[in-house]
Amino acid sequence: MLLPLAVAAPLVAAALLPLLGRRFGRDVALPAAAVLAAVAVGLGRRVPAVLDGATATWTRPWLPGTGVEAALRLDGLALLFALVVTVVGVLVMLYARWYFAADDPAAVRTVALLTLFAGAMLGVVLADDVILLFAAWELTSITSFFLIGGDGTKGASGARRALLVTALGGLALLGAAVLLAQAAGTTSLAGVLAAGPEVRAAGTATAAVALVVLAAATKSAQVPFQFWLPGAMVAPTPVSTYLHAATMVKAGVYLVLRLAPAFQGLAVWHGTLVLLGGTTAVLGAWVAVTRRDLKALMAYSTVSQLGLLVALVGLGTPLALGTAGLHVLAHALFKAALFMTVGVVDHATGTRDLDRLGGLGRALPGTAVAATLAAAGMAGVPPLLGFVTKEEALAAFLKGAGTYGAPAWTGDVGLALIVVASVGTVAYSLRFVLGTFAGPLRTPVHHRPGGGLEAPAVALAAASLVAGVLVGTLTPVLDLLGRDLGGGAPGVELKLWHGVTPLLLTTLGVLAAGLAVELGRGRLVGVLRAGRLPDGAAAFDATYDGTLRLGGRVRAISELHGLPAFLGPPLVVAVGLLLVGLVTVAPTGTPPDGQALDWVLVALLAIGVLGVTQSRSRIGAVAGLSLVGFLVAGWFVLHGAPDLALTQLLVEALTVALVVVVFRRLPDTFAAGARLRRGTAAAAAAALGLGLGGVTWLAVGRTGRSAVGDRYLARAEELTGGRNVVNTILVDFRALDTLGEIAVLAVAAAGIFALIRTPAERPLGPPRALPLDRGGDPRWRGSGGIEGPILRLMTELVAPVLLVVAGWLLWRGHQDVGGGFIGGLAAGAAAVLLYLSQGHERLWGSRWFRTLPLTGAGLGVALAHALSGPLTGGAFLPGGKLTVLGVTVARSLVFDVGVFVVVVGMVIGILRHLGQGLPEDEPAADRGGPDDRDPAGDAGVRA
Amino acid sequence: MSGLIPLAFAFPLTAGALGTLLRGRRAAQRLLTVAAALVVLALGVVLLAEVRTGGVVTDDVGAWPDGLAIVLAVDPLAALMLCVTAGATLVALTVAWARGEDDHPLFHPLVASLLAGVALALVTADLFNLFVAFEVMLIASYVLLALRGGRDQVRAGVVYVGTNLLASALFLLGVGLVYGATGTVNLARLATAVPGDPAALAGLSLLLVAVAAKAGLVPLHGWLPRAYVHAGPAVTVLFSGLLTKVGVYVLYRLTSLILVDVTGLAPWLVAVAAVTMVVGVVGAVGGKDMRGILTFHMVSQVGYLVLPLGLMTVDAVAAGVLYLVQYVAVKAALLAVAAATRSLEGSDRLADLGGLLRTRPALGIAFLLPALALAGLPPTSGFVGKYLLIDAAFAAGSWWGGAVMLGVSLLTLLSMIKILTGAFWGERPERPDPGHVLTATRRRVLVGVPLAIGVAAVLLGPAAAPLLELARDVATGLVDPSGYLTAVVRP
Repeated sequence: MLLPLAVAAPLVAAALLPLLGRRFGRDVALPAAAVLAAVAVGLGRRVPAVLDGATATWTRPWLPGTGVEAALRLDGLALLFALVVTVVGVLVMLYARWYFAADDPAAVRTVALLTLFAGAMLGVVLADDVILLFAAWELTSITSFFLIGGDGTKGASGARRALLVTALGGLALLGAAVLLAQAAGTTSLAGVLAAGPEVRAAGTATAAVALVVLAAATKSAQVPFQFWLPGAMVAPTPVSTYLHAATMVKAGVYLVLRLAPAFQGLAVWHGTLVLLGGTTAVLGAWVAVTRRDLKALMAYSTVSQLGLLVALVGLGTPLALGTAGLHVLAHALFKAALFMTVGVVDHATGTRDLDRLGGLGRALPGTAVAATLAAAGMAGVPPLLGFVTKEEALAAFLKGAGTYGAPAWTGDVGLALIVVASVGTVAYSLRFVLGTFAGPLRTPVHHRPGGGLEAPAVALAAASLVAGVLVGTLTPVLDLLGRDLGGGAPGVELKLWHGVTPLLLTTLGVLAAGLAVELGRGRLVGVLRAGRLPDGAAAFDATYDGTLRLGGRVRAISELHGLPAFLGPPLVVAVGLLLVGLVTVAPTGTPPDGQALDWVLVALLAIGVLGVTQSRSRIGAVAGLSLVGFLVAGWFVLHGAPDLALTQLLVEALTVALVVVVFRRLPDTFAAGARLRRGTAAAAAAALGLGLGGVTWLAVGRTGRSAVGDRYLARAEELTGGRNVVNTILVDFRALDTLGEIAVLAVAAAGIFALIRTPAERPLGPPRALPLDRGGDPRWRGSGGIEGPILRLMTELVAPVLLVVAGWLLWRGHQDVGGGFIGGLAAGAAAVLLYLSQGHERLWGSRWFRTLPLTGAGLGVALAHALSGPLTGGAFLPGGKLTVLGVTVARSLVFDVGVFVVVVGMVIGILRHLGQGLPEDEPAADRGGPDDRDPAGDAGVRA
Repeated sequence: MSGLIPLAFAFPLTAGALGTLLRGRRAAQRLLTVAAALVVLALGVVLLAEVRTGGVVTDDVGAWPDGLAIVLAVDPLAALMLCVTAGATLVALTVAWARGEDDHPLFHPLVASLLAGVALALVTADLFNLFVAFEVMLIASYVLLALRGGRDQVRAGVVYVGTNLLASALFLLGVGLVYGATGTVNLARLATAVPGDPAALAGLSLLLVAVAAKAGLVPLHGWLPRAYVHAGPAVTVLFSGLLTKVGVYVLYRLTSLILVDVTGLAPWLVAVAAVTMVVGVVGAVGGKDMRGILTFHMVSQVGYLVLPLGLMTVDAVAAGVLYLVQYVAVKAALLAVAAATRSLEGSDRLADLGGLLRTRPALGIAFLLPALALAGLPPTSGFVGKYLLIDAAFAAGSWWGGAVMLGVSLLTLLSMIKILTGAFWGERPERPDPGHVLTATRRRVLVGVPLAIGVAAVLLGPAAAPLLELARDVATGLVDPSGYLTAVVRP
């Protein structure tokens, strides 16, 4: 249970700390330190067993069916990193307690996030499943983002760079994890490592290497991604110390160390890492030499040291890998101490600028000692741990790749790069110590640090010294790492004095050269600054801004007005697919029976359609459209479909009437459209029509009546008692479709109501009483009534007759031509006549002619019929008979009544809300004006 | 069980009809609509339990024999989608109530009608009936979109209704050709009749254009972000959860039954999905207000959802299903945050906002958690979905499909960071404070809903097993639809 507890305890603590924070403020750092200390102790007790080669594992299922498990494993490498994370974590927490002011609102947030980060980082190093490793890895990136960003007032751009760069690497890691898991056949990390031969032999090996290197390079700030790390220095010092020096930036190093056995022997792996790491080491060190801001200096120093670590992993010999592990420890000790001392200096003097610092040795003796020791370790001065690890690193490169799989050149090239980097390291280490603590006092201490602020750095520096003196005790660690990662013990005894060897001479040469550089710094810095490197941060920002601009262009479509831009793509795609389909369709069977009259109708239809498209007048277009409709109705008659024909006729008649009512409010003519657009539209329409016609002519039209169609004809009367097959389909067999369609009508009527009566802008109240227009205004500007005694008399006679006919059509529909829909349309026509003859006021004033009550009630009746089945133990939308007052009718007549009422309600809705006359003070419609480009857009606004 | 299926349509529609009649009584309307959503949810749960292990429940509406009836069918996918749809509706209703957006006499009836149409589309096994269901959805959503009646709403509505009417016309023409060629609209019979019939395929392609347009696939996507941003914020939540997802659902259904047998189609599906992902996310990145970013994201996520259809392995489809379920919740939460921001701050334009994480920490967390999930970051459910999709793509040999997903998720993260840095970090620009326009209870609900979803999304990452098992059951039924075919086929 140690392993899950080690990960979970910080995560849970992180969730609880904010609750304590209200009361205890910055003191929450103490329980946080306690939690990490407990984890450190628990892990520390495992050291002897792990050194004996024992491992601990813990596994729970996570994603069933994928093999992904919540698996943890503790071996030498994991333990080393976990101890660094927890021990440094404890000291950072203590440091943070005294770093933040008592009333600093950032304290609690920072401590909680640091604790969360510790849990995530422990997850990274303990994970034994590549997917879990990725999850924890990303969590470290996220916590880092929020730690850098702080409360978002100044750290935003640095945080954004850090997150996006590390997230890029995170995604690479995810890709690599999936590739590795698929090559190895398991997501278990141990399994992947055990399947090294398969991993290396897989076709995806190079891709996996590239992705792993990308992941490590972004996380561990390797060239060209190094820029995010200095940018992250806006974070408070505890954050920089913990994440951006000691632990998180080592995650990339951990990753390549961990996966080294799997890729051992792949030249691309070794070569890339040595070059990448070596270049980064050199660049980081020499940029650090030029920095004046202590935090920036330390950040570039970290970049350089990470480069050294990556290069060591690239070399891949047992000595190199083991030394990399130990140098992680050494670097964590001295770099954490250094960051803490920088924080103390900043805290005490208010500046981190080397040009304004100096002579602080007497004022801050503890810090000065700690900083000097730590810097000595960084520069590789005996007897500190950093000296031993740096020397063994040089030794590893001097020995070269050997037979461990790396190309032979990696040793020499790596050595050269590391030596150059180390000279810079010595120089900036000297610079830091001398510039801050020696010489004349420039900025006095005005804010004396508490003991709690200085102690952690002293402790870390002391540990660095003790470990260096007692370095022999670390030999088993080196051996263990060498065995686990490199395939054998390095066979090296760690000690401070090996005698006078080439190695010692190299070390001394580096130290001397570093001293020389520091002495000649004045001229050198000018030279170094002159050779400007490409600015990674600027490149990142340019990419970021460019992406946003590209996004703006891509989304331009979503900001257009007018319909054509949106109709084009579907039309073009549809036509294209249809034409592709048409090519593949071969004529089947005999052509459908035709009559000569069919072709006459086709010709007339074509003329009608052409007329619609060419008309500039709205009324003309509607007339053309209705001509087309009437022709289709005629065609239905020709082929013996009276129900369809009647429906079509009524719909056309009503449409014309209602559309004309609406058109009063619009200009007489369409806005002038671009010729190109019209041409395109005409071409698309013609192509669609011809394509559909072609497919129909060649295939669909020749298939004859479907089997289902035959069965409808054969069995409709027997099953439903109705002779009118069309009606039985509508109200019995496919009544569900009809129910849906009347729902559409009802909602459409509601929509008219909503758009006219209740818009937020300019709601239209009840119509005012307006005098009837006697002058015959073509737009019926007044009430909507048509004057003229004959017409009036006629409509008053016809309307009641039409209503009777409508009822009759409804009643007989199941047997003969008719039905609820047709009847409803007829009744609607009666309402239109009433409106035309008696005006809008008559409809408006009537209790019966109400939109929503009618459509709601009609829909309710239809639904009542539908649900009466299940309520009486029958089917939904049941068939059967119903006897009321001795009259037996089809049960579905109830449903048809509902249809009837909804259709009437729909027509009434249009007349009530769109048929209202315009008040005198309201302009009928702007003619032209700014909406010309958007002919479709103006309809609703003014209606 | 089978008798329950039509109720998923009938109950919300009844609630809509009654709501129309009770338009003066908001409380009664709310009760009706919430009851309707709860009934659909309950039906979904009950049916899901019934069909979970590969069963399919059918209902011949009206009990007409001989293949004369419309067949409704519920398989695990349909049942799960009923639950998801009802859940999204409830979230949207809550947000609408909290913002006062449901204070229109027709809001509730329209939502109920929309839910009815969606439910019918989910349960029908009949191509023409599917068209009808789409129509019910379309008309209700159009009116909802334009309900506020401002100039922008009506203009957006014209684009929305125009595009969708064209899509509907194409759908209808497609159904006509398919029926003409094969003599049936029963999905199971079409599964065997369509793939070898060029004329039916021509019809199907028209139909697919229509469905793709409704789902928002590139290049038929433009209308979606154009129209959705102008709906009421709560209506956007509703549309996001219901409308495009039905398009995706139909694509899943048609692919499972028919398209999988159309040779040469799979690579095209992957390609369209990949392009959709990229275009959607790039468009999102360019947005300047929260909803503008989030609605363009819908396009991108549709690509994620459609990609598995080009692979059609159980792993891929299961990944898609899991992704869909969690994504609907996560997107609803993010849009709810946008809605809340509009209510609390008077705007959701990034330029008008700043520092919300300090001034409204709860809202900040309510944004952060689902934002992490949308970007697919661990430990959220979004991460699980993303990983499964990428794993399935690589396993199926679709290297570049997986690579595109990886790249797109980086841009998704970028867009979330854009919102975070723009609205939740930094300083609020000088601007008159809108003041407390809502009561404290409503404010709490408005923030609490996305917060709860966000917490659930985080927990659903580590505890993904039950959802993943469910998704695998659903996927099994889609990859091998023999159970559906046997249950649905009629003479």
